Amino acid sequence: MHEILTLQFGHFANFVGTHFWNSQEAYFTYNESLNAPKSEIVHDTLFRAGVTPRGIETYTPRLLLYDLKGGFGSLKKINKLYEESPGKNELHESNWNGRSETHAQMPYSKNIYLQHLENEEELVSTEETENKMKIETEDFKLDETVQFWSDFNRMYYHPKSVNTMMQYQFEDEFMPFDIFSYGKNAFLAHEKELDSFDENFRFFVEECDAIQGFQVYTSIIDGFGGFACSFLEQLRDEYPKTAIWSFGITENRSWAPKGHNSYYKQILNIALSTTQLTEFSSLFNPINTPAANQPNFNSFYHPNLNLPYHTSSIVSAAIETATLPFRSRHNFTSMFDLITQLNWRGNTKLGSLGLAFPLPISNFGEVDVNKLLPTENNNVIQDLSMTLNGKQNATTIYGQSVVVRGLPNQFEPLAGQNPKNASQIAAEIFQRYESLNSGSSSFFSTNVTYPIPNSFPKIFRYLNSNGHVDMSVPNDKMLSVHSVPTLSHLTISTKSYNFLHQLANILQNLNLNLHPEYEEGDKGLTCDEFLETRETLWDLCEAFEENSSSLH
Amino acid sequence: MASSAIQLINPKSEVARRGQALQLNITAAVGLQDVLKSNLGPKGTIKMLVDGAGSIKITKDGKVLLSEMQIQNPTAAMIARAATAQDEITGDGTTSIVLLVGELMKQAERYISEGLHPRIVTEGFDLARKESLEFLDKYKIEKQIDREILVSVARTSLRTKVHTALADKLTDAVVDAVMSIKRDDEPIDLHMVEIMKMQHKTASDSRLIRGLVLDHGARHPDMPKRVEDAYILTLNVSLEYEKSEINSGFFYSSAEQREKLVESERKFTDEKVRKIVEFKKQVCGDTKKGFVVINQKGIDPLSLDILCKNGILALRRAKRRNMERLQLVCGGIAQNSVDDLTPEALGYAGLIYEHVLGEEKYTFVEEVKDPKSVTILIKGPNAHTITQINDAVRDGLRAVKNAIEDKSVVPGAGAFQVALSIHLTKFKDSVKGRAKMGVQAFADAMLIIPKVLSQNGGFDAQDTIVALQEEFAAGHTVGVDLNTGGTFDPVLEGIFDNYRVVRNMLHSCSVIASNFLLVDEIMRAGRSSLKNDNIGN
Repeated sequence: MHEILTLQFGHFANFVGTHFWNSQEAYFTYNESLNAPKSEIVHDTLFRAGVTPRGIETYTPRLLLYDLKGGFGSLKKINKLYEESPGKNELHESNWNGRSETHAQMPYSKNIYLQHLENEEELVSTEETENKMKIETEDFKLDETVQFWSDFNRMYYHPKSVNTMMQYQFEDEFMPFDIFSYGKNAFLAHEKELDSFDENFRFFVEECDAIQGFQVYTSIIDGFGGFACSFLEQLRDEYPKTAIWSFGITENRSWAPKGHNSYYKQILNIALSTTQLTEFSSLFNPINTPAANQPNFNSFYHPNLNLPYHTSSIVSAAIETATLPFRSRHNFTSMFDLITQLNWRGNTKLGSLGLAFPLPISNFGEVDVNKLLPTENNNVIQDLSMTLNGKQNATTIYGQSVVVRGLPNQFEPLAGQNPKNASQIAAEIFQRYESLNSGSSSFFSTNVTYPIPNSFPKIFRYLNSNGHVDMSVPNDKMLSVHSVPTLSHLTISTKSYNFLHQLANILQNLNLNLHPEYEEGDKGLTCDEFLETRETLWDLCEAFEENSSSLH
Repeated sequence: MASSAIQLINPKSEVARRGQALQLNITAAVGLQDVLKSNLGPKGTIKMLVDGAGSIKITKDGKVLLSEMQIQNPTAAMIARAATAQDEITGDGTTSIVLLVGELMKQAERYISEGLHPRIVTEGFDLARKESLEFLDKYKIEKQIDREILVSVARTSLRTKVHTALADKLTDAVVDAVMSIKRDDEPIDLHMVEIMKMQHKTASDSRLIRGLVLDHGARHPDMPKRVEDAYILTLNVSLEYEKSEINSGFFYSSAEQREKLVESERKFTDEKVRKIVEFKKQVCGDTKKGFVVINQKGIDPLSLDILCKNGILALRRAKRRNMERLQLVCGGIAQNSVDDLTPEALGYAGLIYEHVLGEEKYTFVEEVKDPKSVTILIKGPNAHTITQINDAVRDGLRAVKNAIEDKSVVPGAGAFQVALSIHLTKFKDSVKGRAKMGVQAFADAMLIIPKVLSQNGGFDAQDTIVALQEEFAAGHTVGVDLNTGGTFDPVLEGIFDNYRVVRNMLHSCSVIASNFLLVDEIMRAGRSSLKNDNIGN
């Protein structure tokens, strides 16, 4: 068993996480027959079997998620499965003889989608799902009704997974959670009060026999970066050698205008998070969701970049695909092995993540492999890595990992030709990536395709239900795509130099005295720590500088 | 002029000035007071909070209430913050502070509306605060802090949080817990009282365990569920096969080489386990003595298997704090290495057993000699009951600790506030100038505590206050008798508050109220432009 524990810090990280877990659920097959082939995905990596106090057997994610008070929408910490007696709120046994009062907030109403899920659940428990077709074509209006990440969540979480930070309120203008140090102080206060590291984190890791690593999704533009850093510092102390892969995820929408006072706060937050997360993690991926002015949109997917519900789905697809080898039955590669291979130089712990979503391929297996190279113009790779001042192509790649998924074993034959098969096409793709002259390369291909549950935004064009390119599909039709072939390209390269250099440069000219909020509290930022952060950034720059060492 | 300047810079801002600003602050403070008023005292109202998702929380604790509520008003939010900060320091008093702040503002308003400048009022508050603190030092009861008085203090605290029968049950647990961990001339570390929660049975099954309860069990099916007369080895040593950096895929040239590296790593772990097994054989010999390993780090299945075959019960991933607790419970010294293990490192327990509830496992380490760390086991049928008891127990523990460290207590049931109010009214005469009105406002505000206690008991507040003042004039220590609405002597009834809680309360309420009285301009900046369209990168 190679368990992975997932940690999610912050509202947008939880959007990404929700898509991630929904896609995991989509892999499940409820086939009871013993002779059925084993799933190619080892679900036990990410999930745990448990039992509720009422004796219900459960299968829930190995997950800790954190969000601010008021950020959970209609999601309850203690969900239906774990409730003492579901649907009842009255006091069973009062610990008070005197009077009692009830203060109820306006209930957060469930949207059509969540209502549908509830109905569906009741249907499943009573009768066969005959009208499945009808359900699939139903329009749940998710684009309009998703306000919180829980509005499209399909998963039941263990109560210990759901953690509310009481110190700050979600979207509170009066006391915003927008400073790195606030996060560090909040972690201190949160642990003093609730001890979630010992109570909840330990609960999930103690039961793991051979944990292979931790995957961390966190916001880094606000206070959550500080919270995550404090958490990981403690985690590293307990697990000095285990792999930790952190994704620092920023929704492009949340950036303040350049030059604005809050822009510099955001930069400082990101700089502090970047240096500390790099220190505590085995690999750190700073991610920024696509901006409208980025050209790399292929003709097959059209997300609305103003909706976190849409942009998070892209990030989730990239992470889900890049981490697929860690939970595959065949060609399993552990998180530790993959990261060690990528970061063979030892001091290059920053990664960049790109994604071809979909991997544009026709029913006949026709694909333009050149377009998959990030170095080519007009490529179909969406680069998700964070940059601060324009994109820069990597000239030197130290390590790369390519995952190709969802190629059927055999395609439909073109007239007069033999049908193409998956291994043939994968080999062709990998050969192209070889040409990038990476110091190390890891290639992984599987026919497990990226599943599209009905909670996924309807953003595809010209794809048939298997996610293959089909220009005859009408553009205006609500597409029911069930799955999409996908390619992820993870690199450690000199591209990170630009990002680090920009951060270091801005910090070089930043007057910390103008931002006294950072010094507040027991875990406030000291001037020495600020200078150290700047130094660390310059050191990191050096490790990613072009020709900083002879590679070959 | 200042306000128009601000609006010039930020046209979206709204500005409230002078009287208007003060009015806003007073309204907010009084509003917050109204919310918490019904909480106070053993006859207060319990609150059930239901959030937007339908989750419930049940509390009578002002601090919990304030942190659960989504307070939208900035003044109220700042008062709430300052009041809960008090709780962090002393463990109690949030509700009282909020009541006092509201009342100070309300009393001040009377004088301000008659033309007194807020600054003069706050000068009076300042004088009154200093005098109050001196008065408190004379009024407090300094005496030998024995078990009896600690029971009174704990009971006073707990009876305001849970019903009488449960409070009395928890009182003994809380007092005995603190007395067990207390060591002469050393500060009391309440972390050495482990609080373990179990969703099971009823609240009245909660109890003190003179030992340690761990929230996990053995991870090997064949390990014993019960061990008697056992040595305890506390470890912080990884017994997991861990890869070293060099052992990564990139560096092996062949599968054979990889196998070899894996094997040598495995051997390294096995060697550590072997040392523990040998040590066990050495100390236990052929006797029937048990041997238990409690490790802060991991133990993988192969290591568990070896330990199991040698009759050892082993627990992995213990809480960090349990390393310290185990030494205090069982004796012995936690080990960071398995080299050179000596019998002196071992602790002892008469009984170790596992208890399973659904997916939760518990390990009880009991029958130990003179434990310096203990466990309070909290039981309840559901999560919110457990949380409520947990909050109460935490407050109770702090009250007992405070009393021991203060070496004094203050008569409760509003007695101190009545005495202080009368004292300040006399003191006022020695104050020169208009600041005496501030002192009077402070003196009057103090009465809010006995007033609300009486109201919550269903009595007429004015009757109670008059009775209290008359009895006091007759030279008695008097507080509110919540059974009759009359008066009684809280000292005789064993109702005591913590000295430091009262002290902090006096200090905080006057500082917070003064700050808000002196605000003569409130500016609200327009919603920051953060949420505007995308800014590309």
